[in-house]
Amino acid sequence: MSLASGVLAAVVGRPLPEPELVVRAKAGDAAAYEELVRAHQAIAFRTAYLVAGNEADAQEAAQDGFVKAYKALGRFRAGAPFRPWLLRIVANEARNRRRSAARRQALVLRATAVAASGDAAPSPEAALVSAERARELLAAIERLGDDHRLVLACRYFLELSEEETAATLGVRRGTVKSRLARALERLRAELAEEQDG
Amino acid sequence: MAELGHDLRSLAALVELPAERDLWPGVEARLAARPDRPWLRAAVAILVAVALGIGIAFAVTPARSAILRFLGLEGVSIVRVEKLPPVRTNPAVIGTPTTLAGAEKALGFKPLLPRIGAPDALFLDPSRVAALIAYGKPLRLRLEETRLGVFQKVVDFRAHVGRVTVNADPGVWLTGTHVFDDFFSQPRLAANALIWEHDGITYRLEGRLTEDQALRIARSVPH
Repeated sequence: MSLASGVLAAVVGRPLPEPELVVRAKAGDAAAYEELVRAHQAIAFRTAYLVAGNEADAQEAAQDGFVKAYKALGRFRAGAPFRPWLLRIVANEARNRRRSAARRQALVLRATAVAASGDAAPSPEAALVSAERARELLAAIERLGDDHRLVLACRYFLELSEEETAATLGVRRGTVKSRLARALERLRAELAEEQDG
Repeated sequence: MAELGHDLRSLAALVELPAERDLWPGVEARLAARPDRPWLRAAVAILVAVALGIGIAFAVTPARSAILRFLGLEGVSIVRVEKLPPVRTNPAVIGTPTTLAGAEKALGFKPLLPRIGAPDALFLDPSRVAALIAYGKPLRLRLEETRLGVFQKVVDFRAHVGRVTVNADPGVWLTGTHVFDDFFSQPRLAANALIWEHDGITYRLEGRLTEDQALRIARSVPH
């Protein structure tokens, strides 16, 4: 199922719009689905990683999610946004693995971010938030419960929309709003405790 | 709060997340390894059942949740959790009223009716991939028939999940409150349900039924 010549010809010059790819994939065009997978694999894998907590499970979950989505494409409403629907399936696969999987890997800062705490010139990111502040924040996020940590990660680290976050977490949009507010509140309390301690 | 939000957005650039990887080869291999061949799935189902010695009920360690993948019903996952997720309790949007001929035209197969009298209504689900055959006003029994049997049941530890056969086809019988999720509409609470597959079609019968009643209805479908 490598890129078929028909679709290849169609995408030369101008990529097919996503709704068209979905229509073609629904009709059994594997090359169109390959395009969809490649377009969404990064966000699918990272979402699965944050939910499942480790890379091996995340890869399995993302791949199984893409397979399930392909099989369920017939249920996908024409014109609906594909990404939230896909993320819902992938996150569900990741949650299933998380339930029976080993310990979650803690989130860590990039090596470049840690190095920026010295006398060296700060990176562009570190110019926005100091390495020390970044470490405090991440440690506080790690102390939060799963619900709060995940809603923060979806909204801030993956930059998912409210709709996509709702799909990923399997909750309504209103719940995303309230959960995010509580998570920020809890995070502020954690940071305050750290400073007082 | 604004400062915290600003810091979190900045933090995003500093958090180590795994690099993107090419998932397509794995997806392609899995799709290629799962051709839509019901006879193969049935054979795998029998082998799995024999190999695992699965009995009527599934014993699951209560300390953790588990996924139970079934038995020829390739797209169906049954996930056992300690506590059901919150879901809406109002009935799902059923779909568009249709006729048997209309459903056949839309679905590419003719929905089969159990021999329990004429249904009160027939619908195409909103995504037009399933026939929903409804009995009772208000709805008390529904039979869904689809070629795309990809959905998930979430059950808690009070629920019973058993393996059954409908004529010669493998099936699953679920009792107790559980959540039905087709990855398309919002998950909803579901009543007792019997799921089976025949000739590439997945059937899901749901209602306030005993196992015997459900099996009698299922076996009356003229496969």
